[in-house]
Amino acid sequence: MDVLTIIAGNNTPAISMDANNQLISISGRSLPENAPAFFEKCFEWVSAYITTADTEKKTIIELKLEYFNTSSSKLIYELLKQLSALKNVYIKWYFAADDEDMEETGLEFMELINAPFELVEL
Amino acid sequence: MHNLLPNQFTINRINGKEAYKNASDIYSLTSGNNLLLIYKGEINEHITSSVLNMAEKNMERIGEESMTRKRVFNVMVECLQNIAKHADEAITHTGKKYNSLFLIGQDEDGYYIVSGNAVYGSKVEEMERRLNLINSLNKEELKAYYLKIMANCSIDAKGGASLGFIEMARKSGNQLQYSFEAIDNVAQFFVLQTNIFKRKIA
Repeated sequence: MDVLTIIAGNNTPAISMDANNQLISISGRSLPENAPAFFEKCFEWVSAYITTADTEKKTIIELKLEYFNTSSSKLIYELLKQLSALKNVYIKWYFAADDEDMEETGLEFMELINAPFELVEL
Repeated sequence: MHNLLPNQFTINRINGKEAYKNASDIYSLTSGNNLLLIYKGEINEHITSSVLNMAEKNMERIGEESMTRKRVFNVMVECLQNIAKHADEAITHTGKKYNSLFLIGQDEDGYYIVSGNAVYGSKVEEMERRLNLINSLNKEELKAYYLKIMANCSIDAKGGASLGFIEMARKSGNQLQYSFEAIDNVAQFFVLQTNIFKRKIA
């Protein structure tokens, strides 16, 4: 299992999925044209993680996105939905102080995802 | 808001070898309408990237306010990626190719984004239905519709999440203006305009 690392591209986010520290982070801009292809490895990682995670320890998911297209939005939602099935999951949604749209989107995800969810203003 | 097409063109046709003579007309036409960027041709992932980059830099350069820039950018991305995924630019059985159009302009109220692309005639009814539905919803209803699709629809083979038009309407805060015009007996030209008003600082 261990760590999946995707380096940020011009239009794709930096992703780190660390099974040892139980820390998942997605940050930057996400506008891949073919979002399913881009996020495929993440879904594979998550499928495996759900069966092996230590649910006595917290799993922390941090989202620090500047922008994402609707395809990314959908897939990030799906990832969060799968991860929210785990016990002891905690989601942190970061947004820039002047970005009311990102704050709004965070609130929407909070509505959709059934897990502890915190909005953090940067 | 802005009526895209001016009532009269001073140029009917550009004679290639004498195009320089039309240059100032072209410059005036685009300045008058405050067109920031016009692109005609195929729209694919690479073109999308370039167009977005150009438009982003342009808005930074003119010092546009951050939230407005983000919303314009959002709309541009969804618009261009829709075309890259769904435009029927190449009709395979005839080998015919259609160009797409993308432009972004600005006036005192804000920005307007216009795109044009060929679609098979058979798609028109469903597209109209969807656009009319979106246009009929108020802000809260639009949000509810967006969340419903997010939670219930699966992503399609091309990676489309069926959220593009909705997102364009939400981010712009305005109705989507559109038209369909027959190009030939196979394809229609779908034109879509999204208007993004500048944020008023309260």
